[in-house]
Amino acid sequence: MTATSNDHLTEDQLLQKLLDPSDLSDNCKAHLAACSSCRIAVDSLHADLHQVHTLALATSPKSVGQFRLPSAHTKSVFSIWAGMPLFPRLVASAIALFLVIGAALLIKPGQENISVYEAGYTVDPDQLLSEIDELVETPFAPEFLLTISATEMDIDEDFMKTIVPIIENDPMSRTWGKKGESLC
Amino acid sequence: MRMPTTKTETKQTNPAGENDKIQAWVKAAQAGQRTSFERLADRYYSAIYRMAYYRTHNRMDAEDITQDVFAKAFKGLGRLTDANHFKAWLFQIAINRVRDFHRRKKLTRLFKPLADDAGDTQPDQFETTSPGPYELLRRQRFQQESEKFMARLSKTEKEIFMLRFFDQLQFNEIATALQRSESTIKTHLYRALAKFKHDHQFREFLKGDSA
Repeated sequence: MTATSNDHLTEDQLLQKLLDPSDLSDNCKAHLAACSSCRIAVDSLHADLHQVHTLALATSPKSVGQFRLPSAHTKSVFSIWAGMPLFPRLVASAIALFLVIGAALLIKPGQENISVYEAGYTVDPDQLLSEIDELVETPFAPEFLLTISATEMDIDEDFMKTIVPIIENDPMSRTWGKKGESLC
Repeated sequence: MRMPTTKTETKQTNPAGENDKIQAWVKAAQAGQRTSFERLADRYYSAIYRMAYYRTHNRMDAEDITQDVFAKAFKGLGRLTDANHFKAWLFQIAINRVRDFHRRKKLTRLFKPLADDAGDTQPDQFETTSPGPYELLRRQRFQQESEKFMARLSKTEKEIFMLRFFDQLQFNEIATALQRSESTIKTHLYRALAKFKHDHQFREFLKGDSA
């Protein structure tokens, strides 16, 4: 299907011009150079196709994003772990398990509290007992005894009973209502 | 009818200097230079984003696909044998991502009630900068008219027409992206152009908008 220089370009030739102008025969090229109506037809098609691109470009929204590679130093612990070979991972898991079980067995319940008390309140037991004895032997403060003029007074058990008489049926007493105890 | 002949496309979109720069970045990125890859991403980000947007009509989906394309490209950069084909290779990844996206969308539609699905086909309304009512109307009309025209094309014709006239890829780039010969690409494009020539409604719309 060829056109002489006098014939107008066929549809095939028009499209051929759009696809690849170098494929057109010399006759067609000569006709196109001379014929304004054929040139208009080609230019019109060309302009419409160009308008497709222009409109597509104009009506598409602008992208707001950009692509950035994740930083090479921000590898997560999991990805490092996942990237390790199987054998080191198994060994590390076994060691971690051993440490956890060992720690659980070594630490007895409440041990940590004892250690806190030991650290802050270490007292010599003999000194503590002598302080208690002194308190028992001198239940009254020297100032009190001086006030009641009883500095030389022999404070024994009978004297204490005089001061604080025993209430036999005291419901507050620890012996109240105990089985086998006589309340009368 | 005379069919288009096989001929290597010599015309390039980028000037020679630009091509050399891109090739150098590709080689540096393949050698492990992350900044070079980021430069390449900056260079082609909007092209890939627009390509995804034309096919999804949704800004967020286009953004997701674009990010995915570059992440995949970085991972598979070692497989790219010819640095000169980087752009076409990037579009090849993008085409596959868009196909995956549509496949997934079809699958989710099966399990979604019809009422929920209605919003999916609507054009994207969430934009950071509001385009204004005229621009929105223009966009909507262009989408409608172009979709109407492309409904008359076969799947391959539509893909090739979009890659050629929406994304402005050269024949050799389209051939690489679709893994077909240039003559096959030209044959399909020839058919698409014949349909375009006779679609007076679409052409009138294009003329009206340009006036």
